[in-house]
Amino acid sequence: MRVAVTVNGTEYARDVEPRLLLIHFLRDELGLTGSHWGCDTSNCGSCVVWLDQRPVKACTVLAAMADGRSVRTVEDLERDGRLDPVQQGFIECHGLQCGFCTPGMMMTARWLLDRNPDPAEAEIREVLSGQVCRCTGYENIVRSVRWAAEHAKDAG
Amino acid sequence: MTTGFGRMLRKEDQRFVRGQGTYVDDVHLRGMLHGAVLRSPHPHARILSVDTVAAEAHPKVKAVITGETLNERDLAWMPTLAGDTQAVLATDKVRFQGQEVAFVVAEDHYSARDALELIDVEYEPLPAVADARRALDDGAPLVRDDHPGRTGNHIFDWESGDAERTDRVFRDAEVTVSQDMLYPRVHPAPLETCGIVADFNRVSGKLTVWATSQAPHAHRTLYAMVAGLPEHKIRVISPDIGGGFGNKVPIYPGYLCAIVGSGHGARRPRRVQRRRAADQVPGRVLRRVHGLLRPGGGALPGDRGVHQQGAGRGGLLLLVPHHRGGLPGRADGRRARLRARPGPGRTAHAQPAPPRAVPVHLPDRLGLRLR
Repeated sequence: MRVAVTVNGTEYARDVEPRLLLIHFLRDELGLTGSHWGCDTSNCGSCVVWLDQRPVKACTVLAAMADGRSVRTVEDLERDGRLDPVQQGFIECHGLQCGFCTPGMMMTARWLLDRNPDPAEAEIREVLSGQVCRCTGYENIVRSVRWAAEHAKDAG
Repeated sequence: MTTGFGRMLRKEDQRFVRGQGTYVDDVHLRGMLHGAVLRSPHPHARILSVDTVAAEAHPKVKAVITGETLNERDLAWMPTLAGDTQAVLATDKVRFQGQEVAFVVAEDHYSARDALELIDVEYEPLPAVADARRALDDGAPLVRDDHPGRTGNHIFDWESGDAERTDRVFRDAEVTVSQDMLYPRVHPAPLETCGIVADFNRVSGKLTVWATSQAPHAHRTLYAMVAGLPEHKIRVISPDIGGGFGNKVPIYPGYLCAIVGSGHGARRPRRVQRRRAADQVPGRVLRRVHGLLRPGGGALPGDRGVHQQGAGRGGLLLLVPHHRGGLPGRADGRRARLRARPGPGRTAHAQPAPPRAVPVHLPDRLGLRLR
C-alpha cells in the first residue's frame, strides 16, 4: 500500500506492506537509524518518535497509521548546527552510556519541556517511566533534562 | 561529567545524541539476507521430525537450515566458553525451552519470521527438571545423554581459596550462621539484543562479521574452531554496542547459523537479530551463605566472611570474593545441569548476593538491630 508521511519536515511516499511497523519504515525505508528497535513489544521505548507532536513507540505503530501525518525523530533535534538543549544536557550530565535508549529518552524529554519548561524531578521521572535505560540508573537522565530546562537558551 | 580529575567529555556522545551511532542493526550490506530462528516450546523433548517443505516453498525464503543440515557438515555442536559444548541447532532432542531448532534465511526479516510458522516440528515431550537441587537427584531426567557414559546431571565440583585458614577461622568464631538463599537465575538484558551480520567471501575465503560483541577476539577464536577457518581469515568488527553486562561475551547458535548461511547457497551476507523473549528463560540459583563473627570482636556486621556457594547454571564460573572484611574466604560448589539455557556470565551480579546476605541475616540471627 502507498504511505505518505512527513518526516522531519520532508514528505516521503513509499509502497509498503500494510503490516510494516513505523520503526522499520523509518529505519529501513528512509535510512533514519537514530531511532532504535529494542524490545519489539512496546516495553523499552528506544523507538520513541513524535507522531503529530506526541511521543509514540514506533515499534507498535504501523507505518500505515502515520499516513498523511507528521513524524519527528532524533535526527531533527539539532537545528542549524546547534544542539537542542536536551542533547547538550545529556552530554553535560553523562545522561547516556551505550546510547541505545538515548534518542527515545530525548524525544520524550523535548516533548515534556515544550509543555512544561520547568518540570520538577518527579514529573520528569513520570514522563520517562515508560522507557528503559540499562546503563545510567536514570539519575543522570533526570539531571540531563533538568540541565536542559535550566539552559533553555544557551545550548549548542 | 565532572569527576575528581576534572571534566570528562566522552567522544562518542556527540554521535549518540545526534542519532548517528552505528549499532549492528544499523549495518546494512548490499544484497543482505535476513535470518530468523525457530525455538523449542518444550523444556525437554525428543524431536521426531522437522518438516521444512512449506517454509522452503515460501517465495522469499532462500534456505532453511536444520540440525540435520548442520550434522551432515559436522557443525551441529559448538564449544562454549565454559569448556563444554552446546547444540547449534537441535538434532536428537531439545534440552531447554527456547532452544534453537531451525534457521530460516529470507529476503527480508518479516518473510523470515513468516516462514518460521511454516516449519512443522513433531516433538515427544520428556520429563524436565527446573531446580538445580532436583537435577542432582537419583533418577532425575538426564539432560545431556549426548555425552557417552554420562548417567547424571552433575558436571563437576569446584573450589577455590584457602580451605584450611577459612575452616580455622570458622571453627574459632564466636558465632556462625548458615543461610540457604534462593534467588532467580539472571540473564543480562541490555536494550540492544544480540545480533550479527556475517559476510563470507568464497573467493578470498575470508569471513567478516559485525557483531555486538564484548569479546571480539574470543569470538574470532571460537568461529575459527567451529568453521575450520584460520583466524587470520576471520575479521570480527564490534561496532557501537547497546549495552552488554556480560551476555555479549559468548557466541550464540544464531551467530553460527548466520555464518553458515553466509557461506551456503546464494553469495549474500546474512543478518540475525535476536528477539527479546529469547533471553528470558526463568530458573533459580541456590547459594549457601555462611557468616561469622570474629572471636573476641564486637558483634559488628562489618566483621564477616563469605565462605561457600553452590551454583547451578550453565555459564562461566562465578567469581567469588575471597577476602572480605580482612578474612580469608573459600568458595566451592557443585555444578548441576538443568534445563535452562546455557547462560553467559553476569557482570557484577554474581558477587553482591552473599556479602549482602550475611550482614542482613547475621544480625537477625543474633537478635541485633542494625543502626
